[in-house]
Amino acid sequence: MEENKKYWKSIDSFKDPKTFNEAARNEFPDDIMEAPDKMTRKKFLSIMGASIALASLSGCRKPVQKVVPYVKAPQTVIPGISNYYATTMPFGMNSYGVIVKSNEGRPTYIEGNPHHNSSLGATNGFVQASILDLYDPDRSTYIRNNGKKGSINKFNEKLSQLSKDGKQIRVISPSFSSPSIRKIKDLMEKNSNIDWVCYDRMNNENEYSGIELATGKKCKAIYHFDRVNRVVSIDSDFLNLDENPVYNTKKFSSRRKVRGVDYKKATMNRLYVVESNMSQTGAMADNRLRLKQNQIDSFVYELWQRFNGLKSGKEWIDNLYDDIKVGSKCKITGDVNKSVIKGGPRLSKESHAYIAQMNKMLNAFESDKPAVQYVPLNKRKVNSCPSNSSDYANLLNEIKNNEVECIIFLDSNPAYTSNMNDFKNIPIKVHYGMHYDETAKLCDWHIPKAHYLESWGDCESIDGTISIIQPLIAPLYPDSFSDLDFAMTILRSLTSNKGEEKILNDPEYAAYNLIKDKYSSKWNKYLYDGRVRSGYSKDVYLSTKKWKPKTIQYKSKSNTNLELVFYTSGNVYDGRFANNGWLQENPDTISKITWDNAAIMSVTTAKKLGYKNKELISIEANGSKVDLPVWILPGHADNQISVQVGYGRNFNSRIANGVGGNVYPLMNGSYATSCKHSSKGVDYTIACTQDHHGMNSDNPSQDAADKEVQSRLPDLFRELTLKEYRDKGPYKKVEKIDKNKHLNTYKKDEYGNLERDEKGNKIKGERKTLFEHPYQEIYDRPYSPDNPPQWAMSIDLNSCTGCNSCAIACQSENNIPIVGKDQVEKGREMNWVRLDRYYKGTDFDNPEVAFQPVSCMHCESAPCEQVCPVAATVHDDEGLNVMVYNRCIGTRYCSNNCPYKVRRFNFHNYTYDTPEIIQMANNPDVTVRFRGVMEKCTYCIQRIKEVSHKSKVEKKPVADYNLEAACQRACPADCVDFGNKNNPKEEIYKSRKDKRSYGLLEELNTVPRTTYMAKLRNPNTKIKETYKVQA
Amino acid sequence: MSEASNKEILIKGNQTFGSVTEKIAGVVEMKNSKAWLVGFALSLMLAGSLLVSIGYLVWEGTGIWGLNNPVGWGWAIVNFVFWVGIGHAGTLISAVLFLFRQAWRTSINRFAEAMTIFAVMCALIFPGVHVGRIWLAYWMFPIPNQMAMWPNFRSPLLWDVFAVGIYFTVSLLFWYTGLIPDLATMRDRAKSKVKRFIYGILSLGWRASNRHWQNYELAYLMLAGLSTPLVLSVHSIVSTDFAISLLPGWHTTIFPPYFVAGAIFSGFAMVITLAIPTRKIFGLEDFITVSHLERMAKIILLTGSMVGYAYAMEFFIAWYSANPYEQFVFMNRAFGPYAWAYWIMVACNVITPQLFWFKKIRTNIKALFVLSIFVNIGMWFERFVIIASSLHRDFLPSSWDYYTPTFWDVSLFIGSFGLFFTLFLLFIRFVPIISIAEVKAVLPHAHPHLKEEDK
Repeated sequence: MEENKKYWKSIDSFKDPKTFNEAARNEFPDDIMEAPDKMTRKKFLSIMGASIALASLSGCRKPVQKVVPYVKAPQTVIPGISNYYATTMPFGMNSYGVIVKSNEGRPTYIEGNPHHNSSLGATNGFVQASILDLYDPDRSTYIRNNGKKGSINKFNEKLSQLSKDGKQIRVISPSFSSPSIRKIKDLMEKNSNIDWVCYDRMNNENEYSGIELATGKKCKAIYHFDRVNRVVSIDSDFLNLDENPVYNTKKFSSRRKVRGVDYKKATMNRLYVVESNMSQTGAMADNRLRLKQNQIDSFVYELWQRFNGLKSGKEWIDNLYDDIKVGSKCKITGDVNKSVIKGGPRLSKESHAYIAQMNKMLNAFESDKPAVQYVPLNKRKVNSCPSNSSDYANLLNEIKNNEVECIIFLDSNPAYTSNMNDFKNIPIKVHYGMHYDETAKLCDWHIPKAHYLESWGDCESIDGTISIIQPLIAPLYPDSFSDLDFAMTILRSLTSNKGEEKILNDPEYAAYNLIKDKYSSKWNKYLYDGRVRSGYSKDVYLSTKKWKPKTIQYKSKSNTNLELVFYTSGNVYDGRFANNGWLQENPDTISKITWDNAAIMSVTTAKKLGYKNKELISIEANGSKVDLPVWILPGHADNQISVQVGYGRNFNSRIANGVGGNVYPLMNGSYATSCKHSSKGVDYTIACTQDHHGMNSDNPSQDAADKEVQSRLPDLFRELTLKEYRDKGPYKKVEKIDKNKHLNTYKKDEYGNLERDEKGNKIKGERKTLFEHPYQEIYDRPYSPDNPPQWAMSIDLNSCTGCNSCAIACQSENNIPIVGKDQVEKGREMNWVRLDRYYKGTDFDNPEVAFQPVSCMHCESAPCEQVCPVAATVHDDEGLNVMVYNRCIGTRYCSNNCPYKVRRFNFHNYTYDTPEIIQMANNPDVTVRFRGVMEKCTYCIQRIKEVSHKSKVEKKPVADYNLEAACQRACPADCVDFGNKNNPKEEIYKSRKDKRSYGLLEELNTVPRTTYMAKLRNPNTKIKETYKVQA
Repeated sequence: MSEASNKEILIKGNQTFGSVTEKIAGVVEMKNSKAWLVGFALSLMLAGSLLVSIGYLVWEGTGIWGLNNPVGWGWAIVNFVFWVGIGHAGTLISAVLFLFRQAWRTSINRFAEAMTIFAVMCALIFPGVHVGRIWLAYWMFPIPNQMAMWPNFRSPLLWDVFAVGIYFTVSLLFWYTGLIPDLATMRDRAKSKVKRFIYGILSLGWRASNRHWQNYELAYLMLAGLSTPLVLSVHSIVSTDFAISLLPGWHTTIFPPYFVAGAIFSGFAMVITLAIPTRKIFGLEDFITVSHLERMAKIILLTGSMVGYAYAMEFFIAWYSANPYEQFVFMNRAFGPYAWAYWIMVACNVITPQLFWFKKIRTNIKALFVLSIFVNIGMWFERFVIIASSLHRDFLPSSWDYYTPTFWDVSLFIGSFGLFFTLFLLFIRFVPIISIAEVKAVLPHAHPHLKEEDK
């Protein structure tokens, strides 16, 4: 325990908050994240003193920190050289295969495992940011019994006693998919006095039950979007938050690549989205229908009726049907020209049943390469334990009848997500989790949970891929238990176990032994590959050949006037990432809000209810109240308020505490409810990284600034429809714009007269510039391994989903600090990559959305370099715009002169109070920047240098190495190409030569090295009218 | 020295050589007035706030200001340009008007020049402290170092260092050279040993011999010649900080002349603002007459009209260039979130000076004082509008933001006024605020053809 003390400073302040009142009073404890420029009396005095003794400051030096060498060096660790290990990140019903970088024994960076199906080499923001959770300084460090230090032996004794007395013990956990934990669970449940219930507040049960309604078997669905040409997503954010987002994005975007083919033959999928709240998937839609949540089910029903030949006479339904039905007439085997419908977690189970049957009619199941596969959850080979609400309801009943003596909250947090009153009858409550959180405070026992990077275990992903969780580091806190270890501890404490197995009897038999014994056949290979098997064996999938659609009773929903709808957050998910600073500061994909959740509504609804943007309102539902600011979002359905769960945490933490409002208490079983609301009469400060303009005006489309944005967009974010592209090529929309704005001139002879061709037309000359770039010749030299490589990046706007994965990867790779809500609100966020989100068009209800990742363009003629008085930003011979931190004095002139505004300034010393433990997450190859220094994207120069050093040592050309920038590697949509622009063999060369390629603001003659590929939209133009719902 | 005009009496009140010396040196030699003491205490307090503001800035970083990502420069640079601009009037009066043999300048050139020096001192604080790592600000100077690093000669900020540095040096030398005969006068009149010693050292052994006068006048003439191009160059170069960049609203060729005109405009306004209370408090109405003030008002009218023309021309060029980014910047200036600042600027800089077409207003001391303050406010806002409104909405709408100053932005600015007035008040008490020697030269008595009985 001794070495743990340094991580905890506030532990003594923990009292024993037995009552709820006390917990409530603790809502805003002492100001942990004090804003750097808040002036206190003490600070003021110290400044006064300091300003007088200013002269002596120059004599100050930073304290010296010494590096101590190994006494016994581990065999595999070479200081300065990083090691990579494959492991798995469990995530509910899914898991992500990852490869983790380890520097001198500490994991520092996570990337996707290309051999694992649920990541395919990419990641999303959650996976990237999960490394920060390992080093979370607020993690619980020791076992507690009634708030005091406890021991695991005492806990086991207690459990044994209960078991001996024949008392009923219950375990609640979120859904999980580990074969080994499943095994423990099954062994446990052989005992009569213990039961294990899986329950998620935000679950996908309606889909499972819907499929059961249609097919007779509870199933999970696996979609393969690379095999279809038409995707209809009904209330499903499958690219971001649904069960398998990375795989889905990978596969979906593969059908959005129109590179490398003649534009006349370009093909692309089409995405229809029907939803109420603009989601990331909705933003990608080619045709999007905005519907209030409770009307979506009736939309599904109408579509189902259309499938059964009943013409609705509605443009949307009929044209959608005509378009997707065309696909099913195609041959099945090996053909991808098909359609599929995907439903989301908020749909009723009847709707899911219709969707299953429609997919059947679309022949989405029958082929060698089915577009969707159903996996029955009760099959023996399926290891996942999904959330089960009826089990949970039964449990609550048992508790009500005082049948339960002890409950173990396994990594679940009912005090936050539901109501702890449900459990107050139980005499003994045990909490197991990473934090001493809301529930832990109210429990008799608390056992700290180990991070997955400290644990042994195994996982199954949605598609059935099994992989091993191997630890990268010994548990930072020796008292913590991995999931598997803790489950085994509970199991062994039960007295009535029968069997000879080691798990039951050998107290030394740990998770490691269990996993090793289980996978001993090819142990090293499994660990190396990060995968035991890919997918399920064929017999697992539900056979749909004989399945016939049946009649399902349509349940019409009452049409409440104003509806409150709940969503999982793209940043903190269901609250589990609430103490993760990277994710909290990550701007929401659509709203660009950081550090908050809001009551999201449409312009019309806000007007109708009389609310302004950012006005604080009180929402009341299900007997609970929460105060949230109004946020008006284009494309949102009318008469609906959308709120994100996962905020409003209330436990002693540096990040999570008090961020946003907790809306779980407002939820009553379903995802939508009616609500009351009233204004609090005050405005709330929201830290939003975009839209500092326009959104506040009463009539946004009339605002001069908004008009200006619309007039600029065709130049900044270039796009055209697939039809235009195929008919006329990109000239119309991509190149024509340049012609007018470029500094192009006509060719002149030596006397200054215009030269003309045979037909007498003026000849286009070279680009006119005031001075020739002295290094242009170096930059444009043809490829040779001996020439310095000319780095460039290309971003395909066609497949970018705006998911922020690149931004978090960049943050992790480049030690980018978080700055806090106060600083973001001031406009000082530090992200090197930002995802610009624009709305196109003047229709605020049905805007088209554009995502554009913007980071340093590494301009060949960089405006920032010319104006720096101390030459702190200069060009190198590889075309990189390098930032010399040591040379920078912080005039910020470079940032002012940067037309892309991608430079980030350290206004404060943002890393000054970074806890020691978080410093362990830093990449040792990247400098931590000091106050007063400018920083920006470096094209991951540390990775470039690593490769170029290797190439020098190994005498191989740089092009032979697999060099990827962090953003490129993380991108699940494969938008980013990076490499030597002059090497014809590299993808970047082809991308830059592509007809859709253009440079942002290239008319300024900055000659950006990062270029974009214009977006293509593939709308069904027959759908013109917006859909009207039956009265 | 310049010839005394025989057409106009510049110095009123029938002054003689003796009374001039008595009156002007008397300001230095008299006991501290209460008004001076109160003023000095106030100024010193404000100067203290400057020290605290800088101290906290060094301690905490530029984050204490309201700056953000698109708006990388705020009040600090606004104040820098403002103070440099103020300085211009002094040099114009002492050098350009000297070369043009404008005799009326003699009454105001001394303190206008002092104002220049103090204003440039205030100005120099800002580029020094606005950088992120203040302790390394000296890297902007071409100092030989172990890294063999030169500063970047392509950067206008570096040109600033040279331009303002030279300007300050030459102005200081010019001012001091002009002071020498008066310092000798003070030495000769000093009653205490200490004073005599200090004034003695400072007056460089001046004995008013013919040879001294000859050398002095040549040196003065040459320094005037050196200073004259600086009047034009300094603000031209300061304007390149903006004009060289590619930011719409900054990237304009009109900036150099427009900045110079603006600088002279604001400088003369500041001279009036300072002269009116000074002449009143120290009874110098005979030396700084209404006619002096009126002439300055005329210069304000001229330069103010030039500034107004420049504002109009910016709009015209924005339209004429057909550059949509530039067009938006100007529309946004006039009607966007910073419209309030823009219209304050227009009201103060374009409308106010036009009132000086009326002689009644030009010769009304109270009106002059109030209007000169309006011009000062307007010229501060001009720089604010140029910097903040251009930066806050540039090319990519995604990074648009709004800049609001914080307490520390304001306190630093007010503190700089504290420093300015502290220095100015000290100057009043230690150095003759009107050039005794030069004023004597424009008295009718100095005229060789003046009849003996008129003396």
